[in-house]
Amino acid sequence: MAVLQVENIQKNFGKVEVLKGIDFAVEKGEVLSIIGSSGSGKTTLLRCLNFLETPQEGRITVNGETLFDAADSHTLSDAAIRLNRLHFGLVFQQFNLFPQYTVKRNITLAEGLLAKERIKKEGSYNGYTDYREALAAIDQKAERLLAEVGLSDKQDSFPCQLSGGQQQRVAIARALSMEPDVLCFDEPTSALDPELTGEVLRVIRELKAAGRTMIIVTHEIEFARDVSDTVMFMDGGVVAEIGSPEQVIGNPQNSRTREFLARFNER
Amino acid sequence: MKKFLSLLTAVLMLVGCLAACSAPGAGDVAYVKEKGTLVVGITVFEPMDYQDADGNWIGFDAEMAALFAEKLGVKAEFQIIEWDNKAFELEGKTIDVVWNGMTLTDEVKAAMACSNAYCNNQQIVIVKKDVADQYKTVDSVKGLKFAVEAGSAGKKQVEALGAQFVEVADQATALSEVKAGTSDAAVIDSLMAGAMVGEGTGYADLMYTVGLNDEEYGVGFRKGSDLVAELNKFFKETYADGTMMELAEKYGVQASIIEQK
Amino acid sequence: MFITVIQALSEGFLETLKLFAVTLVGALPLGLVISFGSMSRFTPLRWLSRFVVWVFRGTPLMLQLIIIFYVPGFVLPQNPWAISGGRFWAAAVAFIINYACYFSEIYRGGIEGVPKGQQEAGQVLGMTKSQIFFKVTLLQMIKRIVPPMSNEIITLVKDTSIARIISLQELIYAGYAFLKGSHGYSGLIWPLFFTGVYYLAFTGLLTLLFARIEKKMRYFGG
Repeated sequence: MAVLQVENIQKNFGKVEVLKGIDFAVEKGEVLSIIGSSGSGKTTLLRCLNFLETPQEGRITVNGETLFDAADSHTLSDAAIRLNRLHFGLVFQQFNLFPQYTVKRNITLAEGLLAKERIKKEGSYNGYTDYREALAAIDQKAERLLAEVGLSDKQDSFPCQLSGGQQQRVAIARALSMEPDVLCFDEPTSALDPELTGEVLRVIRELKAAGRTMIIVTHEIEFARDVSDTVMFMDGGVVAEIGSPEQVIGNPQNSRTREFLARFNER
Repeated sequence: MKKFLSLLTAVLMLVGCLAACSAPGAGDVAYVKEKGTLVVGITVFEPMDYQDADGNWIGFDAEMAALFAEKLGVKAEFQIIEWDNKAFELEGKTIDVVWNGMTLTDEVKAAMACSNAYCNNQQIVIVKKDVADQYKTVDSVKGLKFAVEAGSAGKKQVEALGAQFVEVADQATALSEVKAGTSDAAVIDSLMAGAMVGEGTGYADLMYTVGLNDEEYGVGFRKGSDLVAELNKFFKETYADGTMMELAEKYGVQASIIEQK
Repeated sequence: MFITVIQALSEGFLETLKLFAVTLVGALPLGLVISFGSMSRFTPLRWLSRFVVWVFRGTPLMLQLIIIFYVPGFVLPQNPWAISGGRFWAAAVAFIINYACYFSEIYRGGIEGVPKGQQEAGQVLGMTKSQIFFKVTLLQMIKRIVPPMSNEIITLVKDTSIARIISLQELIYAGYAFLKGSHGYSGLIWPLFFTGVYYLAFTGLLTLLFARIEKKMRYFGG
């Protein structure tokens, strides 16, 4: 069964139709890359998955549980949206680390707050009834995540002391801290100097090796071909072409896909 | 915007009307007695209203005001005000009376209800002592640059003279302008000059030269106030029994007191 | 003489300090309320807030003092300010509203200046609105508003002297008093100049304080 099932997502801002009915599914451990020119709706799609935007139409199902159905979306409370969000992680183009906190605190902040709330309301969080113990476990997990992205020595640094690539790796660790079912990347290397993209892409490759389910909006066509199980080409708010990297990038059928890739190859 | 402008006009008209239409002084005697205080608006003005070294209000006007309040059966409270705002202070009921060697000009009479005149005064020219000899006549001072208190009787005299002048906050500031050399001359009340200018004062290097006009002091109340009649009665009584002259002698203004009939 | 003058000036300075402190205590929170109003999605509230800000920033504080102090007496049978200390409280009300309007715009700039991505980062991590405000946005906003706030607060120290217009006997007033005659002296000019020492000392202290706060928050960029 698919981890994520997306059906007929439609989103417009005023009169502008940005998404005109998007359908796709992602299997567990699958890496889906979304490519396409600016304005094709890629980022909006990711934002819909993370409930930063509310689609006018469509359905989002994770592990068989319908998180969002436009037919009765008005019934979604703030609390329900919060819970839904935890199924997804999002790594932003601009990192969006919290500048006033250390690297480690950036990773532990949200889960710490959640643990505190749960222990207060329900008496326990992840089996911990004591907030301090829960926090210690959260701390350990943060250290493990930092090791995973190769930044164990930076846990007490502040974001402004890190390079762009390091900041983005922290952002990845932070997104993983809430143990999402699907980890989304919104052009994770676009804000980086070219020499820094490698370290971030390497981390993403390692995550794939570890079996993470990921959706990556990217302009790095070569990377997409290399790391993805599936590549989706979006154009004008619809899925123009979807399939294996060999098929979509290597042998595109859609004329728009070919134009797009040709423009990339010229660079 | 149009809507807003008409709203603004309406508000301004309302405020203006309230300020202009009300005759708030009618029940003043009862009002003052009920609250138990007579708030006396003053500036600092030797020898009429000023503070001794302990901060008590003394002076001819201050002591008279205290006696008047006593007669009404209330306490006199002295409140320093900006002289420019004196009519506001009365109409806004933040003071009950202006009793501060106030010259009875046409403006003052239009803005408030005034008592009978109780003291003669003259607007006189003050210059630095070392040049005083050159300015013994009214004509000789016409070319000087004057400092006068804003809204004062002195200002009117300088205007009539056709001389250049600058308006400052009060008479003392006018004197300090002369002392500091930023103005050539000041015009202040002769009664004040007697106490503040010359040997043994803070302005020992200044001197009185020529008088510009004669005028009279009165006490001001809210328009239509029934305190005016009370005060005139009080003036008559204290003149008759000698209290007024006694106080006048204490502050050296006995020669200026006007007979109260 | 020197001791007498210093005593009198210190009394005036105490009044200045009192007005300064009361204004801050009132205007800092009121400004936040007004800034929320002017950012509200409820249009009438937003318009009202912006109207109030326009009126109080668009007219001289001196005029506001005169209107707030005198107009109630024109309209009512008794002026509510005609109590002991009434001048101080009238001045405080005018200063609080006036400064709250200036503060509200600084707050608004501070809140709107925090990148939207910060809020979104909190959202996708499942944080609540209030958690995001207090744990993510607030400190960044404070960092942003400290420099303009310190400017405004130092201006406030000096603006207190405007309260003289309704005869509040603050520091400048106390200095002037020796010119007119006070405590047995008249025609003294230096006490007025000497008030500058008080202002300089106090604003100097505030400058140091704000520099410390700024330094404390320098560790994070953004």
